[in-house]
Amino acid sequence: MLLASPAIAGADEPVLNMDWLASGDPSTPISFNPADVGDHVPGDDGSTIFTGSLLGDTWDLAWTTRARSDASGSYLDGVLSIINLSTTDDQSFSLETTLDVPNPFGDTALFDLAASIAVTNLQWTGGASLGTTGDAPIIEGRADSATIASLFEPAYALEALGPFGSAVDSAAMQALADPMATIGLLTSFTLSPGDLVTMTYVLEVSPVPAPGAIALLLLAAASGRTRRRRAPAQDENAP
Amino acid sequence: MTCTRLTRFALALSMLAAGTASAETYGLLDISSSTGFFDTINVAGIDVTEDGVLFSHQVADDDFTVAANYLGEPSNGVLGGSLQVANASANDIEFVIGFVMPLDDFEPGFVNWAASVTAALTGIDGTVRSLAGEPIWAASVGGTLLGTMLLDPFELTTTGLGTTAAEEWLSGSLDWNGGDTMTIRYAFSLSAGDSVVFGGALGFVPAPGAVALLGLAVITGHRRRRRTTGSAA
Repeated sequence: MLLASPAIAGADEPVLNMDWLASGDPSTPISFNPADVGDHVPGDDGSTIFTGSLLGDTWDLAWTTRARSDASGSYLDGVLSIINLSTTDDQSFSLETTLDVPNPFGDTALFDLAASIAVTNLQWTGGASLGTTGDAPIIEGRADSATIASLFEPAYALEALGPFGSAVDSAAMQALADPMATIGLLTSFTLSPGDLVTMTYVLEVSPVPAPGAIALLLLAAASGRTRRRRAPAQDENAP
Repeated sequence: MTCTRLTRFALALSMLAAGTASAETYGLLDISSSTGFFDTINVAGIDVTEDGVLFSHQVADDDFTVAANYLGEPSNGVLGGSLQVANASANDIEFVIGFVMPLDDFEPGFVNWAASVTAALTGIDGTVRSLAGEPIWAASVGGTLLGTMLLDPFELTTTGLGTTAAEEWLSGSLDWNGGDTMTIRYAFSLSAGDSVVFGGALGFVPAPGAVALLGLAVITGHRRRRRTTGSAA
């Protein structure tokens, strides 16, 4: 285990912070630097990988998060596992991981956000469900605490049926943002009692090199919409 | 090296058996990789619910990280949770990772079981794939194979930056001779600079007759409570 915090070890290591909230635990929210709580190792690609876990009276949280930030852009991904240890109550959880951007780009930035979520029924009875909490989407990509991109909008629900069953879903999107000092990944959801959610998410922020790139992005978005419109039409014609 | 590894695993298994005799419950996390890493780790369980024991452990090597988090019920034959693996190196790495949970005494006999596995990959042009001739997921009780999922050839990929996920579900029955362990084993290759999480659960499912009896007991309990309330009023 490396004990040095990135802030002490040098500017090359990314500076991360995590904010964790479990609705059934009055001792939350808690805020911590994952470098101080678990282990972290440098990756060969210039990133740093943080891994660790925390246990509360009503929850268990484990993470593996990779971060890097340089002149070419900032990258933040996360692998999370959360168990609702309450055997009787739904519980709402949220985790925000924030990464400092040491060299903010001067121009507009492109946000690439993608996520996969899985919910598992840890019992032989009933099922498991994961859903949005209030008006918050399940996944948000943020810049300076403002939401730039979001996935699994309300009211979204994912249900796993049957004994020890699981269900998965994936989504992705792109957006544009102004220059920023921090980027963040926020996940918020409600989970049924005694069940497990695992998720992976990734956010890459890179400078948009020229106005032509914005046109390309709009073209890609328009093309995507056309494809989505065509898909149902094909289904309707199917035998 | 193989002999040494087997010896260490056998030693750890004997420690696991010793662990089950004491108040504390120990699981075993067995990790080997194509980078030459191998280790078998005793993971102390923490009582978190009436029947539930949490097993949690992280390993940070120069080339990868592994985080195992399992919620087990040794008295009911239930094991669920996740395995997170991140490849920190510049090369693909092959992993074989097993988690063994001790079981309380189960009478030999006919058991029904069900299981699911999820795999979610994140990264840039990432790939997680099965090893030649091996399923990614295999489970056993007392040394008897229960089932396999994500069979070879299995591959999950992202094109460019992204995430992707898959899940499978399986159930079956087993005429079981008894045993004192429940094991989930993962065998896979993970691309450089990417991360994967395997989730899911495995457990015994009471036979329909037992479920009917349980339902009857619940209904009887309800009636008794109703009668008690009525007479109190």
